[in-house]
Amino acid sequence: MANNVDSLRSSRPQANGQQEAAIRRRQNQRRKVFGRSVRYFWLYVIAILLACITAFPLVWLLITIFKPTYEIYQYPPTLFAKIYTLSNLRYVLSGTFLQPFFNTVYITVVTSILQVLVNGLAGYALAKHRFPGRTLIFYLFLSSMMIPFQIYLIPDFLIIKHLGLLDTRTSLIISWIGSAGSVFLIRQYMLGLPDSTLEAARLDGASEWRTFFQVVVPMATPVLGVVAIFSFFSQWNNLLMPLILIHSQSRYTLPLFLVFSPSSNPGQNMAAAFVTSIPPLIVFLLLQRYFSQGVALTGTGEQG
Amino acid sequence: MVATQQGGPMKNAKRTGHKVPVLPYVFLLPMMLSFIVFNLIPVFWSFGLSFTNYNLITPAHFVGGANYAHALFHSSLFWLAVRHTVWFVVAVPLGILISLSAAFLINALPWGQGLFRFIYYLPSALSSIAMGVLWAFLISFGSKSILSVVLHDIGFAAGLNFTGPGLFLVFVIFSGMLTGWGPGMVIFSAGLRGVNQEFYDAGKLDGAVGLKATWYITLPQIRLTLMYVVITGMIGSFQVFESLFVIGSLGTGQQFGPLNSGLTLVPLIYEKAFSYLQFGYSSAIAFLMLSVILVLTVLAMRYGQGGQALGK
Repeated sequence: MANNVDSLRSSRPQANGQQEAAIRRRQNQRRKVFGRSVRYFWLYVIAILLACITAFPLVWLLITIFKPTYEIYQYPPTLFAKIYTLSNLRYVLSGTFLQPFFNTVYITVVTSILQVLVNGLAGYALAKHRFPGRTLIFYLFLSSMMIPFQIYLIPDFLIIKHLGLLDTRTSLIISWIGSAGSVFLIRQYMLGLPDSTLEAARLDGASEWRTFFQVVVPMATPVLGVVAIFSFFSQWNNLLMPLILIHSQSRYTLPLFLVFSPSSNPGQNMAAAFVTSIPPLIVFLLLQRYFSQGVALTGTGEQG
Repeated sequence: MVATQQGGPMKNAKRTGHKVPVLPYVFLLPMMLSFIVFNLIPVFWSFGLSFTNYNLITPAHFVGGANYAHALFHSSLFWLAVRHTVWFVVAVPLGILISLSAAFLINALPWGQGLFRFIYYLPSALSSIAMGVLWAFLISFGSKSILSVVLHDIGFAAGLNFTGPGLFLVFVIFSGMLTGWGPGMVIFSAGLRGVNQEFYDAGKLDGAVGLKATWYITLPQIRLTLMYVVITGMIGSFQVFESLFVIGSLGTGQQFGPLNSGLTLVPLIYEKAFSYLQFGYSSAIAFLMLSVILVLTVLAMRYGQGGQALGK
């Protein structure tokens, strides 16, 4: 209530200012219609030029997929081919490519689900429960966010080795679940959830677990979506961990496969690169809203 | 409101009598396990290793600060990696200038904002590894590469060889910039929309229009966002690895480019540890890198909150 009155009071002088500003703007508009359309023309020229530079490699990739090998190797190279073929697409449907593809899908999906669950529960506990050690644990997580991941590289390798998990897909999953950054994001978001709703659920006799899954999770979907997307992207593109943990070709993930088992035919490699990009693109398109939110929340597009 | 906020958890504690509530710890358990095993123990382990000569095969011996001394005073390779890393770090503001300009550009367009934003963001939304594979393809065959020919066609010098030691590093920096400025653009675009229109109206009365308005009104308004993006970008560029590895391996046939021309700190850490098994030395380099990153991170956290508030 008090807030409403305040905002009413402060909005009144603003309204006057806005009216004057609007009148000024309209006058300026009439004067500058011509100048403005010239300016817009140049803005669009720059925007389109920038789009061309950004899209150029991608367009080349797409066309290369449909070129026969001898056209790819011809010099000087041309963007368009005389003959197009679908044969390179057969490669991405072969077992050679599908095995690392499904390895990566399996690892990425399991990691994302576990990341949301494990970090979600931790974030919930830190945001909505009081218990001895809460502040200590929070600051422990917070300070670990400062430490670059490369510090863990050697010990993580040694630990996985001692656990007897070297060269397993499980090793890639368990080394990627806990993320202090995700816990931090989730906690910050959940601090804003109304306690009254949680209290109501508890009064209705819901257990803590049920409260979490049926009340907290639906309310925290945006931040959990952000965490899911970031863990998906970071695991899908994870190169360093598989590089040190995986040796057998049958357990290669896509990044390893693309770097260590490239086909001798560039068209096939481009097809593989293209298909590798599709799942992140789908995730991005489906969850675009969460994504830009996440970019704004964390300041980066990678590594949640 | 305030009463219930504090009442909720308190009531929960009351229900279990004087005992400490168990459930929060159960909620935290999986995360704590993962955190202790893969984060907490490794930090101390790695720090300990950095004072030994551990090589996975023979038992570790304490060597004091020898690893640090070797890196700082006797290794030209370490300083080469530092110099290359500095290139990446110094390039960050340039990339951010592109992001910021694109954000200005997009926000000024009367229509097609969504389309252009999508195109600009597209390379960042694809797999970064796949983009590396693509760049490697575009520069392979040295001075006869696709990119050399295309650049010559649009007026650059003929026969630029991006797989040679001279241009490899520059190429990786620029290709990374070209594929990576999308997220920055989104942050700035949101930040710019948050700038109050009244400031511009007031500025106009004082003659601040165009670039002047940008300099005196917009930039101070998004200062915190700007600082935050610059610093986190620099921290990220310290850790550059995969683009060098992918483009180097596939484009030039050598992991980090020809003649170590793309060797930065993380590649050095990786190579020393997993090619030469010098775990102690590698850990020492990692901690030298950490000390610089910590300084940047503290700066980022100081600006972080302001940056987030504006970024949303």
